Amino acid sequence: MFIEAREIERDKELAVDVCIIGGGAAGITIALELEKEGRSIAVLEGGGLESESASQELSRGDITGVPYFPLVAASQRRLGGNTNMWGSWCRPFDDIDFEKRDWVPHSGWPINRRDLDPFYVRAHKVLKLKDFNYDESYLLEGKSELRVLPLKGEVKTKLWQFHKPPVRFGHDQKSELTNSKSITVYLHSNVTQIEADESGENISKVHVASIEGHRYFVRAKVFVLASGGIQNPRILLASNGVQKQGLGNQNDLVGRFFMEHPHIHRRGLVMASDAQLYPALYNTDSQYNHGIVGGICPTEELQRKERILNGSITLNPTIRYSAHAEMSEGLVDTMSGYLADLADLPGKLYEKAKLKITGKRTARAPRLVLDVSTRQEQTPNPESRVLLSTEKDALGVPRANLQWKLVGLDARTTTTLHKNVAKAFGASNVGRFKLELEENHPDDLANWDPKGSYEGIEGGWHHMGTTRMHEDPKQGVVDANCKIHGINNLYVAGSSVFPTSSFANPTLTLVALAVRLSDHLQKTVLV
Amino acid sequence: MLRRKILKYLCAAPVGSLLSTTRLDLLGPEPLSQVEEVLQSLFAESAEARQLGALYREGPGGVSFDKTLFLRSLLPAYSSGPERLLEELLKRINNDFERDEVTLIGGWMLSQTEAKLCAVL
Repeated sequence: MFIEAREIERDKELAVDVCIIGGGAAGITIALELEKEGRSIAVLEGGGLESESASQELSRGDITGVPYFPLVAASQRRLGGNTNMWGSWCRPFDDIDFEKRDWVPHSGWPINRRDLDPFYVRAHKVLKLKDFNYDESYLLEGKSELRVLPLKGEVKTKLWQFHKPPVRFGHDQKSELTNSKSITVYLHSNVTQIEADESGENISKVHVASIEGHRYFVRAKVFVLASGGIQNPRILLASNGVQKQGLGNQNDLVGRFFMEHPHIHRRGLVMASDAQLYPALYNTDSQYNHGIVGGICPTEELQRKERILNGSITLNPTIRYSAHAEMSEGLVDTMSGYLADLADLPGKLYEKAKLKITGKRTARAPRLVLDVSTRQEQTPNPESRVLLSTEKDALGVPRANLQWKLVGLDARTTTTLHKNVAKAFGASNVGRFKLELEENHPDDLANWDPKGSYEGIEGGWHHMGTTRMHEDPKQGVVDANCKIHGINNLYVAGSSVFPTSSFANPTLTLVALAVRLSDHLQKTVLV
Repeated sequence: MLRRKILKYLCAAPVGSLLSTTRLDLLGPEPLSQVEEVLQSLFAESAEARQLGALYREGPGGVSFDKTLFLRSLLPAYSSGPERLLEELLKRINNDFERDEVTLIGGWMLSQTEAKLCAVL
């Protein structure tokens, strides 16, 4: 059922079995997984059912690092959270993404891909996807127009799958939530404080408030913080009544290691050898027509050899060069003419004879020029972080201050990936690649300010790593079961627990982790 | 006539000495200019390839570009006919990318062979 904050008596203390803070993909998944007769589950959602500017204003914050989307828009404060704006890009993390890699500082998960596979299967059902199978033979079956490029070299095609329209967790599960006898969704219910007992080892209750001034409390056996990668650390840092540095922050890790997926659009050009044969798989529009998109990615071997991160590129018909634009810029028409002539060479040998017979010349095949977009993993960096601002929101909670920071390895990964894709295209005779990113980046672990050809680098609205997972409390905020170190009944759900980010979009993995956490709670705390 | 001359020379020469400077010099510049002619003919209408060639010659890769050496390397293939020459060129172009024998012209990654090919035109 749904209850508005205004319907609750002021200062009332509700008592439930499970209190989930946040009604997004992770929170709603956990609520539905834990649903059981006789069990009481509260989902505290700060916003309402639709977008409201007054609610959204609570998410406003500062940006003091690499330019980023306004925080007022980055965390959607309404039921369904950021699934209200996602595009359903789904792909599991690769095996290597879970490994400790000696060239990637702070890498390594306490679980591996095999541990998560059973939960990926269930997450696929939650997100209404096809089976958990990313083989080309399965996803591309019957789609003859989507061909995988026969690339030689150390790059390969990896696939995303989509469900269109994307699952909007507020909308799609609404009737289940409405009719549930176990789950109550409290709307316009913002958690302003998570209160620990005197020992700091147990959470006794959460303080809830609405913009209209309503106030109440919720006690529970177990609490799950599921408010997203920016709001999760914000709430923990602001909850400093007992642990003065913030909950779970005894080792100054809460908020650190903020990771995005750096996106660099329209840096790099591909000239396809033959436009007629060029596959549409790598065009991101393929998500709408076919529910599949392909990315060209570094193999594990290349990542190890070159000591780079994971990443991907997609290719869309260029918007920078057209029949009406100046094609001589960037040698685009030069390359076009050259490649046409190169492709025609075998025909030229016959042409002289043909001319005698037919007088006709082989027509030049049209070229296809494609813009390169890169989406990649980010190096875990403790200096990239969410802090508290000096300003407070309308409920008296310090706002978030996002300092997104990148390092040289992030830049080197992009340029190395581009060079290897360029070589693969040439070796496979599918086209030529124009490198448009400068290589004057700093050392791998040195701070990198993306300027010049990297200006315009942006995120993917993915907020990861700020309550990272590690068995050692000196290296992580939560343990392998997503329980906050040192606190018995507080767990975290969502992409803030990721120790590394992969290049794959986070929603599928965070839903899988949410299902896993639910199973853990069922077997331990909620027996 | 010239083709027969080359074939006769190649059949008579011990393996390994085919490209020796002394033996080729005996043939004079004609074989190399024949190769060059064929390449020019294949790219007769390609102002773009010539433009790339000019840019390559002006760039760092072009400083050490030895046209004679390049043409000489194509002689064995050319001696088997223009089709074989073309086959050799295309094979080298693809292999160059696999071997990281590449160059950049205006940011475009080209194979060393195709850049030199354009520079010959």
